[in-house]
Amino acid sequence: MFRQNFRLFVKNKRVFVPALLLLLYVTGYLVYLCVRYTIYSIPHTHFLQEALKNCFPAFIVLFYTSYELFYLPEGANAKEALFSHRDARGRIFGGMSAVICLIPALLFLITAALNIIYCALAGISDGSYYLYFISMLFLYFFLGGIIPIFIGALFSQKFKRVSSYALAALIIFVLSDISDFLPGSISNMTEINFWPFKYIFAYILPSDVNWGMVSEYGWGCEIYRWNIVLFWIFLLGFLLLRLCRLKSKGIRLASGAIVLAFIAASFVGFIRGGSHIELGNQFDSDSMESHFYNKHNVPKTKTADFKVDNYDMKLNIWRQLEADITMSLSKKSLDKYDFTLFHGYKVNRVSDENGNELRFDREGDYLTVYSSGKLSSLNIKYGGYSPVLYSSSQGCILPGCFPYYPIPGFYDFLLNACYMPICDLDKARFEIAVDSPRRFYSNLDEGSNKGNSFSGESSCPTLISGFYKEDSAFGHKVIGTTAYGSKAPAIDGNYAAELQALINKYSSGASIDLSKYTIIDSLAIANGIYNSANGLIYLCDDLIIINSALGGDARDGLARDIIEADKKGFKEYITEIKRQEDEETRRLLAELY
Amino acid sequence: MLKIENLHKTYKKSIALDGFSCELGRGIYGLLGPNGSGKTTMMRCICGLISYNSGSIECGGDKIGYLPQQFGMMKALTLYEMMEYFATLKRIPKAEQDKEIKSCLELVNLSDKARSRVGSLSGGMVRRSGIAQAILGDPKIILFDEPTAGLDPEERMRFKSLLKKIKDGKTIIISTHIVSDVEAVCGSIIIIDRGKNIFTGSSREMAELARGKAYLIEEGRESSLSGNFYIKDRISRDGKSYLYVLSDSPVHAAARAESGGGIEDGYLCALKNI
Repeated sequence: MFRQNFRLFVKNKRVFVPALLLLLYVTGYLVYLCVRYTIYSIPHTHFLQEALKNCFPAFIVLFYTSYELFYLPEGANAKEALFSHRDARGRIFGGMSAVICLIPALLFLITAALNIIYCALAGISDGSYYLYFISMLFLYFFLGGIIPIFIGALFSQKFKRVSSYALAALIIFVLSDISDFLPGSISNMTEINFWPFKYIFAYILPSDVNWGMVSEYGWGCEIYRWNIVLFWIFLLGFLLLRLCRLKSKGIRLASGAIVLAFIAASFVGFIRGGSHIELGNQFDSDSMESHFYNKHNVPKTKTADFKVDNYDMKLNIWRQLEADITMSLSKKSLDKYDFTLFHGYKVNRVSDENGNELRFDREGDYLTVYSSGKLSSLNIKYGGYSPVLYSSSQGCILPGCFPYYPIPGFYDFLLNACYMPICDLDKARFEIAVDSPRRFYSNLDEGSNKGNSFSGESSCPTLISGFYKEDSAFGHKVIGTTAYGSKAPAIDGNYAAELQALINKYSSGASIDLSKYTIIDSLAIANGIYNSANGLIYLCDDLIIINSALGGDARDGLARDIIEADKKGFKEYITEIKRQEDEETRRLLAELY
Repeated sequence: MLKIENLHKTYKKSIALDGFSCELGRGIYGLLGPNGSGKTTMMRCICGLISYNSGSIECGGDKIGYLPQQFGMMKALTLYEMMEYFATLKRIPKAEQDKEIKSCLELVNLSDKARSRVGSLSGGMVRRSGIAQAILGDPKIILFDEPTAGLDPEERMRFKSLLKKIKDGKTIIISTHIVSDVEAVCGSIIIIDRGKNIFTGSSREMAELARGKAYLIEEGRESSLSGNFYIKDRISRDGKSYLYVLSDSPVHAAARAESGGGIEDGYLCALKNI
């Protein structure tokens, strides 16, 4: 049936021409961008962003094409003659679907090919980055493209033209950003998060493509997005299957049961959710984080009466952070142990060394565990994520100055839309094993087991994954992003050597040896943790976290900031920066009013 | 062989088939019935277009060809391409498709239009191409729903001669409300009314139903009629106006008895229970 339906498709200009124009437009536009962006050395992420924007017009054209092609037998009064043959509906729908699915398949292939070419020209060699954007384009162009095809097919059999296009307009409204005001307003009015209802529809298309992308993370392609796209495909496929009226009852029941099982599994997968970045005013976004802090959190400060000597951390980072942490405590006879642990992580269980469950209080970012006697070690199981410092199989930024693990004592680390780094933490020994499909990087040493296990002593155990690479030229351990390729200056051993030269130039007397530190360059951490204008995010005994994206004269400033932070201590340094910034703000406000 | 037993089909508010049964061997059958009597519903049930509530249809695995009441084709394709579409749907092996299509088009006298776009064909030609798709693949059971609707007299004649050409070894059902069409070509007639089979027999047997039941009475003397009767027509004769009446009771002596009508009167007698 494919050949006949393909002929039918090509010969119907009203159906074929829009599809052809879409393919030509996407190809032409991306080829033009490929040339233009290559000339101007624009990072691939921008090219990918422009490519993803085509999903929306593709959705509209695919719906139209599908509706009109499936409507042909009806419109031509040929439906009865065609459908009177055994299993004709199934064969006709199958043939027509296969033909129209060529369009999203071609869209995917063209877009993927041009992205690969662009990346190759940009000098990006990170295989995981290629895999990421190819799978994402497959999700949004091919799988996402099947959804409007199925909707069009269903509507053509159930509704007349006017009703179909009216319903399609409603669907497009719900899918698009235009309807964001609905869940936004309702959520703000009721304090109930209505965004998940919107996401059931909106995640068919890539999110936030009008915003700037975090290069280490990319555009969202998390597991639950696959779940919701597959959910719609299976659900619509199930309805189409019912329309096919298969003659064999056995096949009908078996296929129905299988598809229903897939629908349920996909939806459960979507409901399970996971860590993601949401830009804007969504309930999970960074701005809603500040909303949470303003409304619900009572900041506390308390120095801990105890220390943790050793952390044994088993982390599972697929959908979100799932942690199983065992801590050896310095004091065994306290009635309670206070910790700071980010409020996004839900504590599931706290137990002692014998596995006995212990009572605990969770209040915002704080956790208090009660003990009734001697306690030499403590096990805490928790899971969740921060919308700013994300942790999923797509990417993860967990700097040790952020309480993604229980930090003894109470710390007030709240700041509008990002967090203040927690400084002057005691050193402890860490044994970390991460279960994740991605490679992780850390300032800790890689464990003997390799494969995402780390160990060592530190006051800031930092874990990152995403589009990063590690370089150790000139004895430096430098971890930087790979998504920019050769378009941006490489953050590697050379960069560290240059930074070292600047530090040597500006430091008077005591010099800083950068080879003792792990240098992590991360724009994503800079977005989440308060930092200086020159890009110094954190500095401790074994780690410097920087943001090199500032470019220009910032490198000189960065070298000076490192010297100053080393001299004063990082806590003093960052407090001073914050104080100066607050003063400046107050002065500006006073001038204004 | 086609065996239909106790077929029931209801739509939301109405009963379309109410225990319809019949057993059809090879030959041409005329399915007669007024509009809304369930003819099309029954044909759709036979070819599996719609499901039925209860009863059974057995066709012994024979292939079914169907010409629906409203037949159209994809206008962008040529007639040959459209026939190819049908041939693939009917699972005719690819190697045989060309031969089959050509022979069917020849039967309906459309060979010279094979490469013409369907959109350029006249209404009669489209109807004939509908017949061609129904007989494509040599089905043993062929259902024609109102096949002569919209055809000019010449086309009707051609259709009748086509039926004679293809009838051997086949069960052909022609659904229509035009009694004269049935009389000419159908060996047997089935009358369906309100979803029930109210008569099955030959055209002669159907005509027999009206024997001795047709009367001409002068207009104005309707009061002399009793029992079940049906005024079929008004006739002027010798300057007087008469009513052509079918009645199951003897009519007043003043009326002139007719010897009995043909198949059409038989059809009406069956329908009106006269």
